[in-house]
Amino acid sequence: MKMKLLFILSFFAVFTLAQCKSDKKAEKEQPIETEENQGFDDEEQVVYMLPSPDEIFNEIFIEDIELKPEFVNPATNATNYVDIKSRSVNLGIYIADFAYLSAIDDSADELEYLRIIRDLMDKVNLYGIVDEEMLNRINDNLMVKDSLDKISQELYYKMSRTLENSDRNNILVLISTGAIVEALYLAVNNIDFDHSGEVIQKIFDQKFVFDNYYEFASNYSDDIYVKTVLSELAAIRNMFDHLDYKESDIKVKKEGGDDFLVIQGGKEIIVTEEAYLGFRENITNVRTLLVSISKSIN
Amino acid sequence: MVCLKKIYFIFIISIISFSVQAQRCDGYHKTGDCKIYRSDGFEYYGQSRSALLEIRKKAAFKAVFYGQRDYKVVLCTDYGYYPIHFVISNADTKEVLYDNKEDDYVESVGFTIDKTQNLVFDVTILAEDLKAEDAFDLRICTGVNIYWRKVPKMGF
Repeated sequence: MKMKLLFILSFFAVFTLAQCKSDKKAEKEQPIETEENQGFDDEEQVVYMLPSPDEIFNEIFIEDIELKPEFVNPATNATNYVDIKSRSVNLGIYIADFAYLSAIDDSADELEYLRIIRDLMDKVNLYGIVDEEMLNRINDNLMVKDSLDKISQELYYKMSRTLENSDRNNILVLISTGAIVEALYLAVNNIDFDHSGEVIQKIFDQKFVFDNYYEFASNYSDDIYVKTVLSELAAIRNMFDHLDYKESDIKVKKEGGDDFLVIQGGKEIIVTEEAYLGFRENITNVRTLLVSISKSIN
Repeated sequence: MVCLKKIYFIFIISIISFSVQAQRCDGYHKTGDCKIYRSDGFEYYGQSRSALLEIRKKAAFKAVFYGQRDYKVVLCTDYGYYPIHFVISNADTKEVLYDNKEDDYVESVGFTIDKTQNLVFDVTILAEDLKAEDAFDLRICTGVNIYWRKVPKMGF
């Protein structure tokens, strides 16, 4: 009986300590409310919304483009990832791969990739997101690419919400890292610079997604895995920071009985072959590093 | 023994309430006032979401809005907690693009955007008719539902 009591009390102690840690952070983040300052500090209260890999692909692959399944991370690599960081990052990579394969008409590898995703989720303590029902739905819809698209999106957002609700944003950052890098890697390796300018522009527009992701991730840079992954992304960040822009004033006008806004102007990235090749090289190097067999963090 | 049972009971309740609190708003944006009933080619944008907000306190969300797209953004909360005040601004320049105060706190806005940009939505549940002492809860589920479509091609 004493052992039981001791067990429960120690569990409580750990729970309380964990709460203290997050309270301390919350205390730091929540500004003191005064009469002049009703509301939150904008910088600290922003919720970042990141598109799922299939939404990124839908945005980029606006034309019929032949997709290349040979670029996805091979299924055989999955067992190589043995620590939390590489498992989480590569979970994101396999989620992006699943979204990519789902868009290929004659691909039948989706089920295998979904099983890998489920296995990696279990290993990072994310249970019940890929259940038997989802596997059956995939099986039933292997030939219906639109349905697979929706399932892929549902999977990504369900996972994100679960991690947010359980205060595991550090893991969400790692998974998002893999998902974004893989989506960009697959996009740039699918399209050559001499392709339609609109598609190339769409690839560069993902800089805004990356900026959003990076800001979100930086909030968790106290975490050793997040800190490591951010340093691994330095080359991509640096490349994005050195792009040239055409800038025009943002103008907003109302149209259609005043209930529709037209937002014109803003920043447009100047696309050059040099910038595109630099983009491809940096993304490929970072992706190669992320999928390589993990090294422990000391 | 009784004490042990009490500790165990409190422990279980704490775990359940912590988890329920976090999840109570999941999927709220897919319900009630957040729905649009005429799609006009608009599709659900996955970045739509729900959150538990404290009334009369500002919260913000930031998302990428791709160029050459039309968007409809609908905000909703529980009956009795309206109006909702929201301000849209460009994340880089902080320039205010729209304030729904100008339109009597209308809950939805449609816009077309020609260049991809990150937008910030500052959202405050004003709950104007609600007195603090009458409120059942000062935190309330709020949904932000986003729909999008490609800008339709004009002409023949």
